[in-house]
Amino acid sequence: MSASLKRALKVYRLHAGGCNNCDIEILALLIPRFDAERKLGIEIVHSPEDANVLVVTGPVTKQIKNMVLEVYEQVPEPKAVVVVGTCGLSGGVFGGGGVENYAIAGPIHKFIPVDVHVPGCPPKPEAIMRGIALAIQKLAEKASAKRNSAKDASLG
Amino acid sequence: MDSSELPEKIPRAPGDPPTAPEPAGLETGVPEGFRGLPKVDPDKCTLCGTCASECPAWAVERVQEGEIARRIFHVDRCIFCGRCAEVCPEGAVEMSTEFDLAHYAAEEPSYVVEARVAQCESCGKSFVVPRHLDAVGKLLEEKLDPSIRELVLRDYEEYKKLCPDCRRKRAEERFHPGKYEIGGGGR
Repeated sequence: MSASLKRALKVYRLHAGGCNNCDIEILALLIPRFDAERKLGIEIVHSPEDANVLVVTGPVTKQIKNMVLEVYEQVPEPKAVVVVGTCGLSGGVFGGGGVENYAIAGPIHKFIPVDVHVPGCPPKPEAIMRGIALAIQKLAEKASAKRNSAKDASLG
Repeated sequence: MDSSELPEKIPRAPGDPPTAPEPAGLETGVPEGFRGLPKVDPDKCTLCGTCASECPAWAVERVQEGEIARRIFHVDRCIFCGRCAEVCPEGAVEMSTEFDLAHYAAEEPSYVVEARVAQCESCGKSFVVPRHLDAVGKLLEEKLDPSIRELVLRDYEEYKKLCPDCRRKRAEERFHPGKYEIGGGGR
């Protein structure tokens, strides 16, 4: 890993209108068999203000769109967004491939910048773990960029 | 459930570690019947588009640019249902066990099958991949009743060189000569 992280990885999980299966797989990631808390050092937090990684599932319904934006604003910089599941990536069966759906406002990359995609319906816990591992790399790069810019500002 | 039915401890095999090895699952494999990423054999594929019309998540895109036809398979849209493998008349699609597909958002993986398109002998319009015509011919030869096989295959040899519009015209001229005004309207 080229850049380093100074904080633990704190994950806030956001459900945006999917069928809940991806959330069940994320739950499976935390059981002793996969043990993401110990292997990756991630911690599930219950407020977006404590988080630095946002894990989003679901196709983003029109009802929940504003809530998603609000939560994204509350996560402090630097932050990374991981989208889990096909619905979140493209709409999936709720309108993938640019097909219009009256109830869906998503997919999520229309509103907020997304860093990592985890395809699957649902993805296996191992795939989600790989996705979060990619997010660590992205987050570390963003954190070091932020530190460098802060240093430049204090010097100049 | 009576509490006496519950095991005291969840049993596991001796020597079986409580936590999956690293990287989890990639070594331990997948259960039987697991559906991972669909893989297309580009040599078998005739670009008929059955997978594209059957896909419930619109994951297969049909593109035709000039003389080149493409079927683009978008990984980010696939729901791994296996419908494409089920309906493929050539058996060109197979569900692999690949599931470790996480990637950075900027680089969406997609698979492309492409082939050159044949032109209509009469009007010169590009309409179908020659491999598809051969596959249909083979299917006719296998499935048809022997009493009509010769007749149908002879017609097929003639009609397969024409696009759907010209084929319709040719049939009309043949069965009702001079009865109808041909051309205009239609699809």
